[in-house]
Amino acid sequence: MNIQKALIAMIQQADRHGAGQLLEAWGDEHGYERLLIEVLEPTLLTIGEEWLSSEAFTLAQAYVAAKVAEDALLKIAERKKDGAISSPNRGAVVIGNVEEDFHSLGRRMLGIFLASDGWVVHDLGNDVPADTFVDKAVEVGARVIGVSAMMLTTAHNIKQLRAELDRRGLSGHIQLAVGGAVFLVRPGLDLEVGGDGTARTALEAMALFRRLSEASARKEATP
Amino acid sequence: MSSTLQQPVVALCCAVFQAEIEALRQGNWPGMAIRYQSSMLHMKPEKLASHLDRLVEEEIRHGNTILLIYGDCCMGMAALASKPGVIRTRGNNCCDLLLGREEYRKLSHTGAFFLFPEWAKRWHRIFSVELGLNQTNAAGLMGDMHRKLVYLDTGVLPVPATELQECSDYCGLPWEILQVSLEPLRAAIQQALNTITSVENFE
Repeated sequence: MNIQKALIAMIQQADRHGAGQLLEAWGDEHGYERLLIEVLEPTLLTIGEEWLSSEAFTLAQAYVAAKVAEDALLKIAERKKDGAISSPNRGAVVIGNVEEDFHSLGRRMLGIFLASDGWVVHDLGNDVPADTFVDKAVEVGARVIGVSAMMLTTAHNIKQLRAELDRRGLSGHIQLAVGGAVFLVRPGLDLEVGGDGTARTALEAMALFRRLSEASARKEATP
Repeated sequence: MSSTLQQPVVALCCAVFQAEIEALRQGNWPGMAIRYQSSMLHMKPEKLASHLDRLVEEEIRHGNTILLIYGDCCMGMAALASKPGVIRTRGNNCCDLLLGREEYRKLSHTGAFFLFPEWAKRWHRIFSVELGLNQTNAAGLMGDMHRKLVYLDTGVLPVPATELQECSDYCGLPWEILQVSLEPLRAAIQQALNTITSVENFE
């Protein structure tokens, strides 16, 4: 059985400890930098798609998947501290759940992935008003705000955040990454609510945040 | 004015509210037909969406106006509520409907995980079977996301103290009881019914 199938099997049994041991053994043998791309990303993508599109996965399995990823990323972070893996400093980002949204599991996972990618993450928590997001982004010099919503009703509250950025003349300078379960099943919703981009997984989000940060820098360089 | 003004209203309602709505019904909407649907459907949002879609189509074929007494509980809910002759109660979820928006938000910020009377009796089945959470994972997940269990005592059913303590032990969180008025739920339903009337008058 290959590593992805074995990991999914462990997660299906909601066996966090077993999955952790499996990843540690693979990381020791093949390197933790490869673990992210070759094991965690495809496994989490499969689990996320199955969870949304079928009844194959339970909340427990999704939770264990998130915790297994968190455990692995923390191990990678430890190696970065030791200098065993290089770690860039990408600057500050602000993340939070949009106003009236209290589904924090995905956002917490995103924060861990972003921190492991070299961002200084300011996590504002649940039910965050639009002006609080923008105030914090200005205060810490963040080029990207990541806002999460699980359901359609709360996703529409992101429009207030876009309006607040527009009102302060910050659109473009501060880019808006939007995400959450509803964006996976409603193509185009990211643009409808005023987002500058979205990502299907926390791993894809790392690339999205880099891209948006570069777009912000280009905007700033434009006379 | 549309001919739909005379159409009977049929409510499709999550059974999580059944005891509370039956307590409200006689004094408020004695003539309204209410079809309660298993609250366990919430555990499988895709199934909930297809189930409600089938019921809504059935009621539309019968010429009824449909009131959905639900939160935004599945991805298909917005599409269902946008169908002609269908309206949904305004609220993000069942706790929001029962408590009212501000109270729900205030309590959520304290780290509350809400237990409904109908739900609390079946907590073990929901955690261990439906969600697949053994005690270790339940305590991990709940401890990550919440600080306490809050039982919403609507005064309609006896407080299941034994089950609450067992649930608390399983999740590793303390529990408390909150006395809850049925007025926010009544108001949410009435507001939705008023919307049906105003839409019909507008037509």
